[in-house]
Amino acid sequence: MEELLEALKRANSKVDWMTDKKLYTDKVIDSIDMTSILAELEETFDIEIDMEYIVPANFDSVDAMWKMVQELMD
Amino acid sequence: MTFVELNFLIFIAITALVFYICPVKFRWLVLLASSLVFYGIAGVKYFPFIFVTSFSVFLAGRGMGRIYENMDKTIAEGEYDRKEKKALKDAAKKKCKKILVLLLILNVGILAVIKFTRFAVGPLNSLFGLLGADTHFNAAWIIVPLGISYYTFSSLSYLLDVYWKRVDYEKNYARFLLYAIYFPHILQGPIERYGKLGQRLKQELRFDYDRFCKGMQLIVWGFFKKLVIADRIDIFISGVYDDFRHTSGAMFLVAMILDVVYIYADFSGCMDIARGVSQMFGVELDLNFDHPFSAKSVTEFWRRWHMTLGGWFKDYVYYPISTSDLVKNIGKACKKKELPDWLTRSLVTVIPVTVTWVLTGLWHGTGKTYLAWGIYYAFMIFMSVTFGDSFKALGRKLNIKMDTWSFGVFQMIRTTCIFAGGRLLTRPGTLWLSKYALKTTFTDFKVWTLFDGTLYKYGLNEAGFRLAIIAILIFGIISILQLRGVSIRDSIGRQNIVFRWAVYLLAIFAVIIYGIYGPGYDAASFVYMAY
Repeated sequence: MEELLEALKRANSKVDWMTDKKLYTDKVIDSIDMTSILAELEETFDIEIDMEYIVPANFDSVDAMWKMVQELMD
Repeated sequence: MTFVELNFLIFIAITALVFYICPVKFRWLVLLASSLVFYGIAGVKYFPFIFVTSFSVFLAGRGMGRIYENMDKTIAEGEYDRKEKKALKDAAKKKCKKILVLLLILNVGILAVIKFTRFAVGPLNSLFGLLGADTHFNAAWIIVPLGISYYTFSSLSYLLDVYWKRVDYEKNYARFLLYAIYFPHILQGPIERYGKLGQRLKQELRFDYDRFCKGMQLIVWGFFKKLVIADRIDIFISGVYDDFRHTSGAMFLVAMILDVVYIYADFSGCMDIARGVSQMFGVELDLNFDHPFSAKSVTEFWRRWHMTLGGWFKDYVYYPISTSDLVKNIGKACKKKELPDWLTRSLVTVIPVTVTWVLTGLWHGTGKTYLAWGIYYAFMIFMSVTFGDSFKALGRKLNIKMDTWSFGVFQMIRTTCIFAGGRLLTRPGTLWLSKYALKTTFTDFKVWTLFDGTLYKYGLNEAGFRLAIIAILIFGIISILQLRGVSIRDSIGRQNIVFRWAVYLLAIFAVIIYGIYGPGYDAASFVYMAY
């Protein structure tokens, strides 16, 4: 999880990643942030995030992203 | 048959009668049969097109679905490590990708040939003429099947969703055909996703009195917007652009403003009729408009205007490009070189935004005007996304209070002006006339033409103008109330029967008496039917 938070901070250091808001649905992050997030997650965890995973539910919280990363690493 | 014909109302009445007489489990078949009849009335010659698209996409979806099923079964039954699982998944994905690419080429190809041939024939003939070749292409043989842009986009969204494993594949072709051809949405959308509409059409479609009545109310409201507002002010707007040589800048300005109301009333009116008809059968269609003129930025506007088209392009064009290796690598390179934030955002955004908006423009039409429209919005969205934060910072430095209602109103007017600018590129018909209208507005305004009766010389008389203004005010007030969370239909529904029916009858008679009909009235003038 720590590793994920570090990767997200590298993607965008200005975002409060632990906010109560839904990150994607409530527009805390935008489509440009998504590009950086995907690049960082793929590089950090050596995974490929296909389009099937790019849905709001997977990016609305750090927990959801962690769950997705774990699934892809499995 | 379009939504604003008496025949359509008779068609709906007969369909509703048969639909509710039939047992619940057969009702979807009534909808399928009536959709086929509706489509057949438009032209039996169109059937091969929709059958080719729907059947090829159905087969492809089934093929991909089975490949994934087999892969899941193999993984579940065997003991594989991570690398082996990945290899199996990659192999399945590769097979599916071949099917996907083939189907995309086939169906986008059909759409492109139908939409672009007429546009390409002129320049091609000129080119061959210049080269001295005795070749002459003719595009008269091209027919444009009813709703091709809509059913193709709906079908492609299903295909991509199956490929990305976002929906389960459909096993029954008749069910899939109903999703593609469902008559309330075949004319002008909404562009529905299989995951939503396909499932709603599978529910038990039982009679619900409240929902049935609400559907009828929405239909009447749609007719009011279309027939009383849009078609009335269209007379003036068409008159202005047809007689442009004798038109003052003031008249052009009035036409530009009314054109914004026109397109909104026309398209949202049609959507209300479509959604209302569908509600009568117990099937909800997606919302396509959510008070777009309350948007404070152009990006927000496009989240509220033609939402299903915007959503389609976002999910199936913008995201695949913005998450592609190319764009991710651009982002990485920018970070490595520690470029400033605004430059990184610009470089990461420019390709997906440009491609998405040029394609959105070409979806609407194939002439230069639509290409210009696409580029115009690509530029506006690019500026908004890239420099939005910088503009806000500048505003703070200039001590502008951006959380006040007055600034909010300014933002809404600014967004509306940007939209009007886009309409000015396409409505007059040629870019030359767009430029002429804009130039005349600034150089030959003639303010007195607003007051000396000139306004009433373009086909819409004084009484017609007054009526249009009253109708637009009603439309505006209701929109504001809706924005504040008031549900007009619920509110009327809670009143006593006498008041309720007085309102219904008043609305119906307003449409009958004040709607624009008459000889030569062409119902096909629903703007978005042409796309």
